[in-house]
Amino acid sequence: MRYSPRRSLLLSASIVLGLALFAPGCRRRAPAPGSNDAPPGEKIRLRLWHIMNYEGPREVIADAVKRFEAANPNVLVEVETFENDAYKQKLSIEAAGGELPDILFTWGGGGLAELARAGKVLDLTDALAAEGWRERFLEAPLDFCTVDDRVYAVPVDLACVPLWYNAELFARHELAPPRTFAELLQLCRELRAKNITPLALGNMKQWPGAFYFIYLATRTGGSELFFDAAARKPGAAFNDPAFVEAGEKLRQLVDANAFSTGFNGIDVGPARTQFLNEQAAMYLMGTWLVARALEESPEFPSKMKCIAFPAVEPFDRLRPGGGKGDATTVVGGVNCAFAVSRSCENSEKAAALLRFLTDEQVGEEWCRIGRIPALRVGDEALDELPVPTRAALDLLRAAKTIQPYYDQHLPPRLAEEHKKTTQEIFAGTLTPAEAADRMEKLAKETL
Amino acid sequence: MTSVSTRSAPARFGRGLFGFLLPALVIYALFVILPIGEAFRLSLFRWPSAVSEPVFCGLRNFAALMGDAVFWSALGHNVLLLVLSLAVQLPIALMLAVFLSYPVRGRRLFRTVFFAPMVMPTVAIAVLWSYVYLPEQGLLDQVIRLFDRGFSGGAWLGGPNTAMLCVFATICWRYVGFHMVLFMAGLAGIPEELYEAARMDGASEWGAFKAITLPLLKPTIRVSATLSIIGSLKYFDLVYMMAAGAPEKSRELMATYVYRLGFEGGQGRFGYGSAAAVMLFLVALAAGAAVTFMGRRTND
Repeated sequence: MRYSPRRSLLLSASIVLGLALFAPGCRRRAPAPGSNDAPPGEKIRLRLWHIMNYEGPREVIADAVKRFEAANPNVLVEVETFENDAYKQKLSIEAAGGELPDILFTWGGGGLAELARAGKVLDLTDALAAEGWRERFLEAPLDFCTVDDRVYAVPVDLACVPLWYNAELFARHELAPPRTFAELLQLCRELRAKNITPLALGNMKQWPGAFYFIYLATRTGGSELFFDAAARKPGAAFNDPAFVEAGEKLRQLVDANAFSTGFNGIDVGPARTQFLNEQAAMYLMGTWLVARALEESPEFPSKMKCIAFPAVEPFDRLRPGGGKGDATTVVGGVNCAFAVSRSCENSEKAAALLRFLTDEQVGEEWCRIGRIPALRVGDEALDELPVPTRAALDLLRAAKTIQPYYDQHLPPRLAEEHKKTTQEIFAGTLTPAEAADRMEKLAKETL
Repeated sequence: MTSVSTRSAPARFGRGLFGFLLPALVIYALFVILPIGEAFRLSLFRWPSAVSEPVFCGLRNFAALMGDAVFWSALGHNVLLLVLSLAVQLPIALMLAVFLSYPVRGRRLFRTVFFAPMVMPTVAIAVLWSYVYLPEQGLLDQVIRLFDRGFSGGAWLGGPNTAMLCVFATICWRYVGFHMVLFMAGLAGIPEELYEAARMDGASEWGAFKAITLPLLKPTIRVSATLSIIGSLKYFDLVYMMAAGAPEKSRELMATYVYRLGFEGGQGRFGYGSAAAVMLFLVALAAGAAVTFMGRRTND
């Protein structure tokens, strides 16, 4: 081939230009939905992001979207799903500088509050007041979506964290489920002596271990203490003796060898396997466990029973005048809610879609797929729930308060600090007092 | 070729050659030089939260970084990785290469087996090895139990003192085949006559290795060492995936720390993370300069 500098230059230039089209910053922009330059007949587009990308909830959401589209033929909903952790990252990046979708998935709590206070999501309070929409929701999950008395998201899914135990294994060894922390400690020692792992725990991602700290803290100092510390009310702090005591109790469990060996290096999957294979007797995990158990070991859920986390002995000596934790309180929260981005140009259509996503049919379907809806549904629908889930729901209903997961109630940075310091209490690299002081220090800086 | 044609060639093809450089240059500028400059700029700002507007804060991020124990531990781990790569990984690779240079049976098979981890996806390796290190049921614990029946299982990937070393073993397993292939190529270039002459003179195998193989392999060793140094300074993936459960001061490399500050859990500490990234850049630059300088000196 003959060599021609000119042709090669042209070729290179065209390659460069071609590549430049894919470069970040030169982002291809879809025509603004409903704007004037859209050709006639062009549909309004709504982008919806969520993370329910597995069988069950994915289909229920897709179905609700389809019904909405049938009722609104001029609207096209573009659904995109993400993996849990990837979504958190994506959301924070898009919120900081990029483009949020019209409708976004949220867990409520601190993450939603941050978006709401930065003016990134729409206030839905007034929309909820119309046509009895608000009455469709249970009060507790709606509270999780409320920031400064305004509602910014509509909840669909409710979950809680009971202490699951293998009833058959307990019966075989003539053991009784523990009612108090002292009984739990004793039980753990007995199970270890029988060569059974007492509590399955895979703490690599840090949140599974945090459940223990949250429970011990709420049983010791009460949920109010946590809410007040997070709201920076005078007299409440994250280094309150109750939080330190919770850490000490956690250490007692670690020292009693109560958890899976090497728990900090194991992910949730292998820990769940230990429980389902009956190598471990108990498992502190959210209600979503039931669906996974049904999938991986269909016979197992018939052996699964649950109790509320054991009560902690009176704690008045350290907090005179302070309330001690109520033993019915359940750790839980909203695991699926939807908010509307402020950048959404068709907020009325978006609100209409939210109504479809939270209608009666979704509530019933949600029960059918084995998850607890944040919506009011009839008793017949609740009877569709798997037996273990139904038992967990009874605990949830008997609870005086729902204690939110710290990492969903607190703003992201404090949430990370909570997970990191709790994990270090588990690892023994921080004392409970040091961990509490670190939390309080960052709380002072960020709240 | 005459001297005239070699001198005039660049002049004649000058513009054409520039055309060939241009695509790479543009991409390099767009994805490397520009982001580095951008990181410098961002490191001067502070994000009160991920969604708030950044606030200018001068060099305060760098001041905070100097007092950040996690950052120093991350830097320490990079150095550890570098030292172990040079002191453990390269000698093993060299040993394997020398071993495979002898006409042993199943030589091709061994070569493929040692090289295989290089072509496996990193995520698969991370999952595979986390089962090796799984406490109680994992391969490692089962092997230990063959010798010590009472062994109750180690913390391995979750342990403050063991996490990094466990991941290093995996990294070593992964890259040793790559360096082995480099060394094998180097060994192939050493003339067989030299060994024959040495044997005639009555040199031992070890003597021949010291007097012939090592000196003649020096350029290859230098390439291997340079790649190891660069690789261990920018290393990310296996450590990020496998050591996540260890306490903060035992699990970070500089690159994983930068990433976690910016993105993990939606913290959005973009400014502080950029400051850490700038430090990473400066350390890498210094190491790169040192390697280049040493390479020049030995070449002369």
